[in-house]
Amino acid sequence: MFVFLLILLSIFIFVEGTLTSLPLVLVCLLCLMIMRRDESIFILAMIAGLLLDILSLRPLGSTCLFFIFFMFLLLLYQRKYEIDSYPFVGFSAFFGSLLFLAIFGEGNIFVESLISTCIGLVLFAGTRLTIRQRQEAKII
Amino acid sequence: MKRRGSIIPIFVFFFVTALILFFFASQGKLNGVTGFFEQVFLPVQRLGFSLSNKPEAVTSESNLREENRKLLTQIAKQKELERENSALRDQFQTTNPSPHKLLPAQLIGLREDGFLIDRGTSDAVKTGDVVIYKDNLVGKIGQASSHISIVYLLTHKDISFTAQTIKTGSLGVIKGNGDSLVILDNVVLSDKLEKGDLVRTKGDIDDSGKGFPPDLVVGKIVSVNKKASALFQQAEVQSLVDFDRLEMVFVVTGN
Repeated sequence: MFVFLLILLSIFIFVEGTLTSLPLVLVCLLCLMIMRRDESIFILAMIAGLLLDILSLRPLGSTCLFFIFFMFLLLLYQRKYEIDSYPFVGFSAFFGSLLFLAIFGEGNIFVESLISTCIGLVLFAGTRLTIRQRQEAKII
Repeated sequence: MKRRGSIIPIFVFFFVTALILFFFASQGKLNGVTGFFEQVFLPVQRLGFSLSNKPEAVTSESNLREENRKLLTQIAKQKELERENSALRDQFQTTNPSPHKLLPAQLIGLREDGFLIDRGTSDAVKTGDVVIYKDNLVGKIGQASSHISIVYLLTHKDISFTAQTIKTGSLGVIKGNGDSLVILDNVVLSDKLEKGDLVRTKGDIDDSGKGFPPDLVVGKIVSVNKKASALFQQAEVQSLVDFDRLEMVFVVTGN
């Protein structure tokens, strides 16, 4: 599942840099963070942010600053809240997308945030299902 | 579960690294690195965009639409020739812009307010250069890096230039409002605006060569807003170019 999410992240980087302004990379990083919950997410956030900056003609480092800070905030919350839950994913995807689009995007940021939240929840549902299946397989 | 303490130093390291990169990039010191990676990813962007933007199948309707656009452009040119013949002009016009150089550019991505093309500063493209398609004005270069540029469409709120209607000769200012139409504004009430009339650029190139060349077709008037109580009248102008179907444009360089 982790490899699948990495491949999906690569696809999302090119789709977001070429075709759409939806923050797909952000929601994909969110799912990866919930899956890994370690410092490796910062490396992914940095690389994804740099690539997005190159493809979107933003100043290099601007997007990865946002991603790194956002991932750090979410990692801090894992001690206080159960981050492996739909409400948390929905809330963080929505407000993360809203903030990202407010800084880097144009147009109807509210609608785009809602769409990316839905995509994030679907991704999270797939991630959670796969993790549970693996846990059940281990028990057996 | 990881201790919070082990995350903070790693976060600080990555955050500071990103901050340093951002600082140098905003000073323009990383343009070479950015340009190299843009060259590397350009083929992928072109492929991705061409796969997602398949041209419509050639149908009789699309042929008729293309023919209609050509005929409207020819009408605009003919009327302009008629106007030139009726006036006395000096053969060596000092107000003429210097010869144009057209640079073909392929679309490689979409934006809310425009699109990306595969030409940049390494191809002598600079911010403010005009972008056209078959004598129709498309927009201008909003941002240019080494190998990629962002084209702002006519509808962009930063676009503003003088224009004139073909049939009635009314002068006004074209302004983008971020919507799918552009507005021909600041037209005096005594001038006539007709629905269906074509609008062309008046030409406002300054001494440094920046600005919009004259006689480029902007679009067709689709509605007129005239109130006796207002100082000026307005018209909504729709471009003859279907921006959703564009695959290639031309950048006017060397003004």
